[in-house]
Amino acid sequence: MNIVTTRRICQVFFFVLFIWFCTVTTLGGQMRQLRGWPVNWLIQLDPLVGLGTLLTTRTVYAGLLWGLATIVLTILLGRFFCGWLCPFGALHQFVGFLARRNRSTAVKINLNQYHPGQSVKYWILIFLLTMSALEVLADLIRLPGTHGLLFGILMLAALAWMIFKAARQTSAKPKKAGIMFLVVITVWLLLSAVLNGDQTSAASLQIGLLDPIALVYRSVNLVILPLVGRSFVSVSTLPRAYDGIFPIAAVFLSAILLNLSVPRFYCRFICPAGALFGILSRFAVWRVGKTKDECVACGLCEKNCEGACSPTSQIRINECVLCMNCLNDCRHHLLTYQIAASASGEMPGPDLSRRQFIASAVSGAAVVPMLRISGHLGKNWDPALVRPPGALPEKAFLSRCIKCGQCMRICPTNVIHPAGLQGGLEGLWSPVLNFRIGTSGCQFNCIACGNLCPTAAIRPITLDERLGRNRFADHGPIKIGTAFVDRGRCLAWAMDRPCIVCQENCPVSPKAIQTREVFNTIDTGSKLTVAKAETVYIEFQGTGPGMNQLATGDYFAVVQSSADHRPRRIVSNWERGLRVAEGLPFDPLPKPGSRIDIQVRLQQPHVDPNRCIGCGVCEHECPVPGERAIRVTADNESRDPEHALLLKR
Amino acid sequence: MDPDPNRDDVNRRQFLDRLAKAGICIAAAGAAGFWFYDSKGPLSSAPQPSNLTLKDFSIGLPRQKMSIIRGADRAATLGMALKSLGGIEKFVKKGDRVLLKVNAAFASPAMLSATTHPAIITEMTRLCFHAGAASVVVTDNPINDPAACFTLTGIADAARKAGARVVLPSDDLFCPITVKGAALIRNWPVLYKPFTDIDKVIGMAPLKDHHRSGASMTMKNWYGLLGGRRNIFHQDINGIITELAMMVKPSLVILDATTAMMTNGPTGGSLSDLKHTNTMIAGTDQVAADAFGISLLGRSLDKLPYIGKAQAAGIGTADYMKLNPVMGSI
Amino acid sequence: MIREDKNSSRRQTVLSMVILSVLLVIGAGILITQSRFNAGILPKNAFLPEPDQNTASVQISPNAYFAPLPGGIQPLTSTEIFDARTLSDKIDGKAELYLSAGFTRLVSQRFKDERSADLWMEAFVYDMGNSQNAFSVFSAQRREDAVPIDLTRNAYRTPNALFLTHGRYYAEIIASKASEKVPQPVKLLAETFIHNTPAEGPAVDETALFPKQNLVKNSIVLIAANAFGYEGFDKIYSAEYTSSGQRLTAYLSHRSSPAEAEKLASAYTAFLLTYGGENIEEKLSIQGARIIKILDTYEIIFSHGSYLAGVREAATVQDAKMMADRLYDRVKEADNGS
Repeated sequence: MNIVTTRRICQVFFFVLFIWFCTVTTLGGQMRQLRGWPVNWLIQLDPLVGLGTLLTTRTVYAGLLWGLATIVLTILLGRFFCGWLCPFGALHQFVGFLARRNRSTAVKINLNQYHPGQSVKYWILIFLLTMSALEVLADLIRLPGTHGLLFGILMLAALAWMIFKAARQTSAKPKKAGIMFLVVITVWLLLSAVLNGDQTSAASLQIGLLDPIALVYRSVNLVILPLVGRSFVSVSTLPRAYDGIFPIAAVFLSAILLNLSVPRFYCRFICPAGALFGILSRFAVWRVGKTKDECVACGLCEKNCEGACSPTSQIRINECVLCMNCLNDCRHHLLTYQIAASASGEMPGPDLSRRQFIASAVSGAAVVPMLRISGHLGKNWDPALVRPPGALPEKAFLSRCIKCGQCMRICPTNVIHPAGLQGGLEGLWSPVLNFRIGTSGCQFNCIACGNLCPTAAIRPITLDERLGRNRFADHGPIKIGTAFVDRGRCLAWAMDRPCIVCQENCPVSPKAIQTREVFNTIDTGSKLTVAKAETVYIEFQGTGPGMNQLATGDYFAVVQSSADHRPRRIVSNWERGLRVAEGLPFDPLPKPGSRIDIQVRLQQPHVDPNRCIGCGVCEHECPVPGERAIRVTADNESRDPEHALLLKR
Repeated sequence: MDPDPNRDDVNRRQFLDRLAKAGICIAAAGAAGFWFYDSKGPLSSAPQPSNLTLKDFSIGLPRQKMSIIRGADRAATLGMALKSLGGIEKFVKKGDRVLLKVNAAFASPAMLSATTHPAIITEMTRLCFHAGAASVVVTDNPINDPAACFTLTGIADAARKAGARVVLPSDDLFCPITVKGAALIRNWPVLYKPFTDIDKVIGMAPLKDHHRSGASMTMKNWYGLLGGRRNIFHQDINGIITELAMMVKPSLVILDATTAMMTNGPTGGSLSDLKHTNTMIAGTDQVAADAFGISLLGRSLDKLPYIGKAQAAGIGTADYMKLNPVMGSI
Repeated sequence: MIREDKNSSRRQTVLSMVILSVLLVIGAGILITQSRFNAGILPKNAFLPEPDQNTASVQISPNAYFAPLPGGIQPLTSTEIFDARTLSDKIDGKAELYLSAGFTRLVSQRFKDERSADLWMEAFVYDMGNSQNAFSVFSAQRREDAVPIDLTRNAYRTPNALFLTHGRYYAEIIASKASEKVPQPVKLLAETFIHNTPAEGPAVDETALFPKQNLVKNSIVLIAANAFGYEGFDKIYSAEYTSSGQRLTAYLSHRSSPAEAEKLASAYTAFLLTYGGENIEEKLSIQGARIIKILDTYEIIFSHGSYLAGVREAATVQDAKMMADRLYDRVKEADNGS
């Protein structure tokens, strides 16, 4: 059996698996629903997710340990993930194959030549990882202050090593090295003395922007599946909508379309996970290579070379994605997958100069503190950023979220959406709640998002914790925000229209929205003067509101300047008169000539911030169609004590 | 296949070298994975309860003391008030590091009496050094911009000239503190660091009307030690003042009622808000000092529930006459 | 060369087989995993208050109405008690129905049956103050698929539940499963409740006074207020009769005094007259009875002792008189008896 066929089977297997995982990610226990499908498995296998979160949080969360398996296999075998497993890679390979199908062999060979630009992905990787490693780096800088002894031992060891090298005369310029050593120690000590810790130096996990697995999950979850669901077969209970997906779709589409000009463009030039695998494969035990140096240099082995790793001459192991095409393309069977290095030699590891490395690292280290000068993690936080229940405090959240869109896909009411710039640039595409779009608010009996989140940016909470019962009775329910009534837009507050939709829909018990009854005199267009009155009838001198316009049960008649001010419910009216309910007849009868006020009974909503959990059902149901008259902001959210609205007792 | 035995040898060495490196990498990755593995994920975001508290700065007299001196010259009345308590030496020993908690809440001129008057800061600092203090620190976390507050009130200038060091509040000086038995000050950021190497604390407050709490005096003065979004505490102003008095056990408090702000407190803004009540109160019992202060504002105790609450909490007594205050005038 | 080629392809085949088996293992692993549900998928009964982990060992005891529980039935949750203020927390909008009928207290608890794992029941015992109120809420919400059963005077079942009044209580026992017969445990619970709870009979039992002849089954209802569109009519028992294919209604109410009964009878007569009724001159055997024709039907209104009674919507005068006479006989008997 041909190994290339096996590779294709393997790629199809994982691609189908990936699509299956995305489709079943809807809440429920049916076969085509979430059940126990390990829908995060491909994310967990991606070691860049594991490594990124390890740097930001110093933990490897549960399933992310699978990344270790990938790392070990990559060290043994090379970049098998790219060529055999990655669903995004498979997609690129397939599109690239379609685009090249009818090209001549010479063109194909030419397309697969190594390009120096392929080192860009290493810059990207280093840029993203230093961003994640900020806190670790800061701790390292502080080492002389915090662990002086350790620092001393380290420095002594380095000194000993240098002396050792100088003594053995392996070091080219011992004097220069000595000066460098002193400079490093001095700078280190100085930095440690002046560095003070605040949140601007905290790490930020941004690998999700370009990590292929996070990217492809996000794009399929938020763009492809909703598109398919609306146009073809249903892949979720109701058609899905997501706010602001255009840039997500644009990135995805560009990545796919670039294959038309260069095969596997994304994998070769952009992919930070590929770069990580490239570095890891440096010492790969097995590798593709030539058995003999001499060959006719026909270049056929590069006809279908997916990694553009130049197997003809000195092969670049860190670029080789193990597509194995060269093995069978070589007419002379000179290429093989073996333990020995290629007979034509190998180009050592990533094509990256020290200058490029430092430039990427420094810009990565600078960008997050720079972004955070805006203060969006401190006093300048955006209250529009309502995070799902169980989301960690913002700083911790940003050090975990990979923007994969799993929470947005699983949310049964479709209220979780990719953020725009509410959370600053670093919060781009992280989950934020939008109560206008979904089918309801955030269901208070649902804990799906936290239990699916692959990195615990949203914690896996229990229903007890969410509702604040049993063991969590002291903590109270988890609040994601608070609803505020906009009295200028509310029907009952501003427009004399009876409406208590928000109160009725409040799912909290006892209700977080209470109403207070008021009677407001309304403008009926003309003054209503009594012509004739009986116990429950009044006839007007002129004309009043049209037939039964006041008969909804919400309107009341009050006789002006009468001793009895009690409003009486109008049961029917016509142009020239009205009738009130029999329970409370007029007594004394209104005198002809006296004025009648028409009052509307309103129940004006008030939010009790102590009970409100910010679920947004009220905002979703509010009948004011545009900007709702009751809206949830993140004020009082439980995840950040600094956002508390009320004094806790 | 290859006839060259040398190359084979090189190959084998290269391979073994690579194998060793691969092995080390795998071992390192495995160890890291094992070491950092976290099966549960982050627990509830509730912060860990803090055990930090401010230490007790009181000088441990057998019974509380208080003196009330009439007069218009702040330096003179302060000096006499201290003398009648037994002299500054009773409170500040040789080598003591002293912290003056002043009220620098607003960036308004000293003559408006919204802040502690520079004259008593100068005099107090002088007296402390006279008693042999090693250092004097002046601090507060004001409402307006800290630098502007200390400058415009004249406090910074007065303190520096007398040889005291002004500590402006910066984020890293705050630590979460839990006051034992308190319901409000739990894990709340407090201007803690300036207190860490201090031996004596003297509270120096002006007598002011305060819209929310009734009056701002020596107990309310500690509010300026709170950090974070402390305005939330205005939802229970009497509770927070009581807990502040529980939090700080000062060596001495000074209530400067030379010029009292009678209305429109705590900012005032007009000279017509002020009245020359010409009194300086010094004492070790902040409740008693405040209880006397209210009488100068012409208000009754029941308008200020925090006095009663503080007394019930055992911080001091509202019946200041019990302390046999030394009365005098210049 | 050819040997090498063969060699290479054999190696490739072997490697392929290994890889394909790995894929099979992965597939199998995934299939096995999918049956272990994600913690985000909540079981249907997640909303039942879970037993607290700290108090898990503490036995939940059944409430007094059901203790001791019949064999095999165990309490599932602890007892919940609601008063007029909190009733809507439990039954939401339906509370109004109970509150207007004199509700004082609701005791509810869930039970499970050890013999069938998926069956659980919830028992609601509404204390309505008196039997009249209990009957009022009982009759006001009689289910369409109700089948009367012989547990108490007023009891019926539906495919998954049992409803009854007993003394001043109105009780519902609702099971999580529907079946042809009442699930045995539901019946056992009901019997335990009836056995445990002393039922003071009603002071006056109007329902027993309705003549049995031609009475439409299950038609007796108690109208708490506003009966027949007349505001003064409260606590009226009404029953449906069929007579020679025609339906008519008889009604009865025990008032506080004979004078009050007579006053109400005249007031209702006056009400009918203002709304287009007309007095018919017809000889009646019942003293003081009036007969009124309204909207082509006939009404007879009378009072005897403290009872107010009458016939409505009779198609002919004869039907109305016959019914009225029979009702009068029963009322007279009852009045003499008391």
